[in-house]
Amino acid sequence: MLQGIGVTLTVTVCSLAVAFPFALVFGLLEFRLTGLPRTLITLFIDFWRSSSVIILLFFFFYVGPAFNVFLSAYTIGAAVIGCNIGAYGSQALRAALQSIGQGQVDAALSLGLSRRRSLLLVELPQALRKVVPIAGNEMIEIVKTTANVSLIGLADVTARAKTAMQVSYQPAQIYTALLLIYVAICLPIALATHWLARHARVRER
Amino acid sequence: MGFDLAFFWSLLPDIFRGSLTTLFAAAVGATGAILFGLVLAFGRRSGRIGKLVCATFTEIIRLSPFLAQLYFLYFVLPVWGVVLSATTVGIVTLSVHFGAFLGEVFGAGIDAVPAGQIEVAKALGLKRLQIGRLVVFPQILRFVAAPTANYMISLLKTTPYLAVVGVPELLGVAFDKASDTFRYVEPLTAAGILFLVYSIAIGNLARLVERRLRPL
Repeated sequence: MLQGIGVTLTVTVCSLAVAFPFALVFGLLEFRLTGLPRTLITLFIDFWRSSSVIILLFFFFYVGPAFNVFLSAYTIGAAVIGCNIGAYGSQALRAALQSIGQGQVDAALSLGLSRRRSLLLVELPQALRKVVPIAGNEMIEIVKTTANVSLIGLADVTARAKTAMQVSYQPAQIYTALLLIYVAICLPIALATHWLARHARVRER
Repeated sequence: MGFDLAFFWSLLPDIFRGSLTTLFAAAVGATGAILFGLVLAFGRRSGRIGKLVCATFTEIIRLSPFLAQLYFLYFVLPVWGVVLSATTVGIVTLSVHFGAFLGEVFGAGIDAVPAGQIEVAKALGLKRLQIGRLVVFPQILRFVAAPTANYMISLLKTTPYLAVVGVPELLGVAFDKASDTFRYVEPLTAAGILFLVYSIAIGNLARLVERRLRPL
């Protein structure tokens, strides 16, 4: 079972590598764009937010090959989980950007910063501080969501627990261990997030 | 292989029937989760032992995946002599999993009502029950409406997991059809589209409720 932890962590890291850029890019785009392009971005984000991860995983896993698109289970897992959680993250970032006072933007513009520099140097750093606790929660969410890849054939901890069960019928021990392994992975992230959130809090004036 | 439209249409009635099981499980699971969440929220605020037990339980549930919890209940309960149908186990897991999250939300809602208000209500001569019904409850309701609605949406999106233990819901039926015919594209597309429709509908409903119950 312990060997499965490696797979779980690999999928987690790959999903993170998709989720963070997704959240950053689409959060910024939804914040800055207006009109039709914004609607299209919102639709795209909502597609990833509205569907169930498990359905998306099966969809890409089984439907891709029918159209001669062959992707590894790793790729599909990381892409689907990353886009799903990233879509949630993009909403958090957009909300954080919107919560920054107009006064800040006015001040930045009157100091001669361009609109883009104001966004990158004034608004974004503050928004990122605000989303620290949410980002931590999303990270935990990613770890937990990776349990799904066991359903498309990856040998992560959950899949190994199931195999172990078939070999030695001891469900109570095996599944208690499985729950505790996930808690052991997520608890440090939760604690680190608490700590970071306390230190990164924007000092309101 | 491509996409067989006629086959796709022929699947819809059965998959729609499966989706009714999805909605049923989600509705019962949501009710169970709200009740369980209330138990946890009040449990955490009653004595040291209650706090310790409820807090530990909440953290274990919140930090482990739904799938692992589902397997746990599905395989371990029979060992303890509790034999339930797959659908019941699924609904229990939904209730427990989302109850843990809702417990936190309800707890925050309870704490958000300032103690001063209760003192004022007492000073004005309201009875205990009246204070609860007229002063505390409406405010908690407004406070928890939005996050609760969000969890209801994720609860709906979690129901397809029940297919994994053999509940004949939306995804389960789609997989049955797929393994009967070896065609995965159409059943999974149908399941995906129907599911998207449901979650968008529930999402809009939630937005409506939120707007009506916005915190003052």
